[in-house]
Amino acid sequence: MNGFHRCIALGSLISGLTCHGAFSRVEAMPAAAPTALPEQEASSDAIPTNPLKEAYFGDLHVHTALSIDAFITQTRTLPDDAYRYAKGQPIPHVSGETIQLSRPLDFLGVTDHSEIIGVARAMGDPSNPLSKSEIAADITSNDYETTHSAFRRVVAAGSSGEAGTMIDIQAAVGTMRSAWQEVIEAAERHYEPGTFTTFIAYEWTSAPNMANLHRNVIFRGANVPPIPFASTTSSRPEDLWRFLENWRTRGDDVLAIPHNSNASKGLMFDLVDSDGAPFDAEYAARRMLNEPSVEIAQFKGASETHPALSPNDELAGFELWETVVGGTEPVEPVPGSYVRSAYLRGLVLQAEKGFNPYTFGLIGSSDSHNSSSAVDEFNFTGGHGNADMTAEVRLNSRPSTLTTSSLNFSAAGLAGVWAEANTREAIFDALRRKETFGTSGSRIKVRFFAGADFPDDLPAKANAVELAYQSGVPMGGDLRLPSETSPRFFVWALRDPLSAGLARVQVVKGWVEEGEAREAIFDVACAEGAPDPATGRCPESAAGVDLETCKPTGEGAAQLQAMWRDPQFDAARPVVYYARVVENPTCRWSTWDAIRLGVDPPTGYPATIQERAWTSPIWVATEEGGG
Amino acid sequence: MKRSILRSPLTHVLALGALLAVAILIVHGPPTGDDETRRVVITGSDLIQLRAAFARTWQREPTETELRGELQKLIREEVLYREALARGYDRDDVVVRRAMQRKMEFLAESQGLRQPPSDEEIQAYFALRRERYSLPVELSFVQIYFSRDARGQGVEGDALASLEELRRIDPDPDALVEWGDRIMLDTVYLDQTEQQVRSAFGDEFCAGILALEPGSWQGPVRSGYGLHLVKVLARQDSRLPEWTEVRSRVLADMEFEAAGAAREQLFQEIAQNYRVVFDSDVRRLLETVDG
Repeated sequence: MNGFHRCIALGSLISGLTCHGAFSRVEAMPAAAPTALPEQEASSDAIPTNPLKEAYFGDLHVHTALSIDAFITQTRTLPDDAYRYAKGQPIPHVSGETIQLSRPLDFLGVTDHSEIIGVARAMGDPSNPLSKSEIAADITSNDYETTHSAFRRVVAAGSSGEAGTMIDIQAAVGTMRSAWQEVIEAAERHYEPGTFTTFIAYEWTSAPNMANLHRNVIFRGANVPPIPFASTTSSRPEDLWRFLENWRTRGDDVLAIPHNSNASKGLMFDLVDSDGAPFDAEYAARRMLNEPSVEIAQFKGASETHPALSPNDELAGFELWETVVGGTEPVEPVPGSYVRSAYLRGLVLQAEKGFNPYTFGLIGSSDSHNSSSAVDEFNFTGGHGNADMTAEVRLNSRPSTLTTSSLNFSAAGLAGVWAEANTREAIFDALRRKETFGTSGSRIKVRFFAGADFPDDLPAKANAVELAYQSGVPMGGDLRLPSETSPRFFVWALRDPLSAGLARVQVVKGWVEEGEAREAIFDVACAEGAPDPATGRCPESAAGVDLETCKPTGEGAAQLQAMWRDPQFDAARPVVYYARVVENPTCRWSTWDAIRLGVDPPTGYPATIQERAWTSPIWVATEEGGG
Repeated sequence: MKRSILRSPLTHVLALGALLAVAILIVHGPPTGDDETRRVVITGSDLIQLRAAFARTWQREPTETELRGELQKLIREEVLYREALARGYDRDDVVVRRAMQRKMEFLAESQGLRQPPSDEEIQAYFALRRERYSLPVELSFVQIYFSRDARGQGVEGDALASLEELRRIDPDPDALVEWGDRIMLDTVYLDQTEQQVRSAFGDEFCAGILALEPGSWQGPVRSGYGLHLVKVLARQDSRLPEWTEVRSRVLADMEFEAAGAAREQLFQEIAQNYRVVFDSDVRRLLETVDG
């Protein structure tokens, strides 16, 4: 129901504002002096470090009142509140209640939209010239229709080049700079190395013709530009990359994380660049340098694959998102919109042209517009201010001409990283080397290694993980095999103690055969019994959920381990593997809401879901050939 | 004599004047003094204010063209404002009301923390709210896991048998990896808060080990994963830190509270000058809520 016109909105507003050249002016600004760190508390504890790495869970996609599309749904909480919430403290919610996570996160990056960041909020401040804009009264109204129609007017003005008549551009620039300072200061204030990590970050909201090309930009440290590079300046990813490349030469590292490829109309993982030119090796290198990670699951659905593209994957129909963002125009399930098909496209390019632009790792996140990450199905507090703030609002949500029903949303996903310590450097570096996994919201921990000569009894060894690192590669890595050998895979998954037991672990394989991409899924570990070698599937499970109480029926496994060989490995073909860990069914958030309200779960939506984790892939190549 | 007064030109003039006055009164109505509200006077001091406001935003003086532009905006603003008042929008319009309310709240918030508090003030706040800053219980323990998946019904029996042996042998932490079943958990956990234990093992385990006496092997304790045998090595009870250890947290909380308190205080001060009166319908509603 709303907040999504933000994409059209912002996309066009931005292009409108560009006409003024006002925003492009800021690129010439010199780098800001690094923000002084707040006074450090005396700490006698060294930062806990594990060379074999721990799994840390976080969210790299959260919006606060500084984002216009959060502000117009009455979110008034700020980055400070977002960090408090992530640390496990209660914060205000649009419904008037306070909200609180059942467990704190290990890290958080607040990613407000860089486009007119802080401007909507400033319109409510009488001492700010922006509050004198004609549009200010409507933007700051607490009536849903009023704020959203005002937002549409802002967008329309932007796209017709008349934004300057509506907003004092010059005043807006000043407001944006100080809002960005607030973002920086909140991140600095809440960073506790070893305990809780914050990232200075923002969202670059590019959506040409309503095709979602959004990226979240994450800075490794505190040395950041004085104003973020917004899609107001350019909506081409290649221009964002140039900005990132320039910034790296002046400061610390920075990367961009695409999300919602499911709403990109096939453009996120296209086969040509923004000018329509086919890729080359340089493009592939730039893409992987700047975008080593992709957000595969969040409020607006999962982007792994679609049943139309993966008809042999019984679990492919998971939290599908089937419209554009900010509208109700349906999108077709095309390969350029999904992660799995992107990996396959990458392999085909590897085989044909010798380069691969799609070797990214995976994370999940939320995309909350409430300064919160509502990850728990059983404790879902919505993600879009007054559009989905209570169970009543959510269950009675209807699509409008501008947006889809709240019922189509998922509860948030999570980013999982394997890092030596809970610090900015360690977690950022994990994103860079792709030793990460995404979940649909549970805290499943999963290890995934590949090696040429893992022993069969590796899982039983006390130092299994150490051996795996020594003689193989972890998720996100490239395995180079000597000729005449085949890869052996070690998977180890641990359930989330507060969610359901594990049902199975699968390995998803992609390869190229006679110039065409192929995929196959192998169950490699089952909660009950073992996979049937003929079908590659676990025995049917009777595990389910009692829909009156949401109690699981059936235990599921506390952990699952497997040593696996690919029965069809062919060294001559480019090939990629990733692991998918699936839980037993649990109630979807919509069912929890229905139970609390004493009504039936909404028709047309699944009553239960199987939460899952996806690891970053491992690419395997044999010395003699296959890429 | 009477006849001559009535006929005197002075009388005629006065009478005519009175008639004219009555006519004007009838046609134009009584003099209202509203004419003043429709007269907008711009002076040199307004220009000074416009210049200053411009310079604050732009960090430079306006050009003449720009100043003329600001002037036009000012006139427009003033005229529309007066007209809005004349139409009673300050009383009747929802949007205007809300903006005025927000203005009051901004006023309050700016009364909040005017400057960074002194160390004494921070200490005082900390003393007042010390429970909030108490450091949580910290546990150090070792654990051994027994898998129901692997052992089936016999898992509890296995755990209890191992418990006897553990008590007898009391192995070093390093040797513990040989006991029980493999799981993606550590054997040794040091200085873990309740939150951390809960996160790693679930509620049941956390509650279970909080109740254990340190120093000996106990169990089995159930977790989201299965059964565990646990020896609590050390337990640091909840303690209050020194204010210096949590200084920046206290400061952040002070700012947060000050803004809210300032809003509340301003409202209370103002509300004292107002008397809220209910009619019988409203009283009935309030009574049913309380009753």
